[in-house]
Amino acid sequence: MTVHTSPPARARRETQRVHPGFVAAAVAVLLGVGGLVVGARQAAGTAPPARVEASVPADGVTVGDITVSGAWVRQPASPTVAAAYLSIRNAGSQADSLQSVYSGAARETVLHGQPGVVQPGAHVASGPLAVPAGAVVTLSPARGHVMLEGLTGPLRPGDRVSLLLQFARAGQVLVEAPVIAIGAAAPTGAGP
Amino acid sequence: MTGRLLCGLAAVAALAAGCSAGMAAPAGPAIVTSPAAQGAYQGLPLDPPQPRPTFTLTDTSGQRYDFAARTRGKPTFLFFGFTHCPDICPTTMADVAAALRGVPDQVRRSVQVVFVTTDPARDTGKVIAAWLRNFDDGLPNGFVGLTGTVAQVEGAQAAARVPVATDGGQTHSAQLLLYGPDDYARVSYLAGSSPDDIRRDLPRVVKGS
Repeated sequence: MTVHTSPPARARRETQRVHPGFVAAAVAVLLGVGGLVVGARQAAGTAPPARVEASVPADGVTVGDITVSGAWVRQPASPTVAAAYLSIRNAGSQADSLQSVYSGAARETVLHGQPGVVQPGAHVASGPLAVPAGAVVTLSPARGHVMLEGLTGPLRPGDRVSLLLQFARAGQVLVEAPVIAIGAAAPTGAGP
Repeated sequence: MTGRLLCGLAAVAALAAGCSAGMAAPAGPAIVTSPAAQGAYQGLPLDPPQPRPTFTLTDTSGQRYDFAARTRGKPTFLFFGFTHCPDICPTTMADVAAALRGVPDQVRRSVQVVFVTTDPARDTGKVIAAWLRNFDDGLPNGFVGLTGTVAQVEGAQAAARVPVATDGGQTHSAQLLLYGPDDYARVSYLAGSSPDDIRRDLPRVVKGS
């Protein structure tokens, strides 16, 4: 995980703010449809080749001072486990922390990512992920991830996995993580 | 790159590169204070070079696989991991595959990739084979998957001089070893290496220089 600290970006604070009630409603809808694996699956014939370059749109979702963006999931090789990656910007003057993540795509989600907290050991959750004031925290391959364990179904390129992030201060943020092909390059520059 | 290198070393030192538990490596902000090490390789140089290890395990079809005998003289990637692994293991295998797709055909055809499970309890030959097919699709040489008893896979790790996995194989070294045709590894890759790093080193390793 990398943490980049920078002054709060004023412009960012004017971006889309999602009312918690709206999020809750959206979650309810999404939960009801397809167990949070949302979006149309591409027809088999149009699946991108394994080496297709992934691009992540500017997809930041802002709630309060927190913007979550650049979420993605690599198509898992395992039928049971996958990892989600994302960036979190805290534009506020107070620290926040990611408490938990919920996804209907898996029976269990575990945060594996807080530097210095995770000890060698199997399936040790890292606990809440600190997001200091003015910082951008990025979970990326080998630098933290949200483990999706006990997948409820296959994840294929073109699918979108919804992730409901629970922050201590900002509350709930709902983002969608596109599934990229197994052989696709990891998206870069996805930070908010 | 230096920061990345240090992170990787820390990961190995702490045995911490396991897919589920290895996120401890980059402690705190990633601060890059100096340019990339001007080594001969993009990956982590091994000095002194490490000899190709000798161990015998079981391949995914249930046959004995004598690693040293079967891969002798061939450029060979060796990685220890497990399939129920969300992050490091699939990323590493995907990176190797991507690198192989990016090198000249002659180079690609000369290279063997060997994956040894650290979780033999769950990773049967069938499970490993299905997992590997996600990565080696279309490549001339299918990735070899190996398993064995816990003692055997631990012995293989020791022979390859990587830290022996713990926690049922889930906390394991992230080191991807690359042996040359002279049966020595002069470079390895750690979590955080890119497919490009591997791709750039590969022709040189294959040439045996």
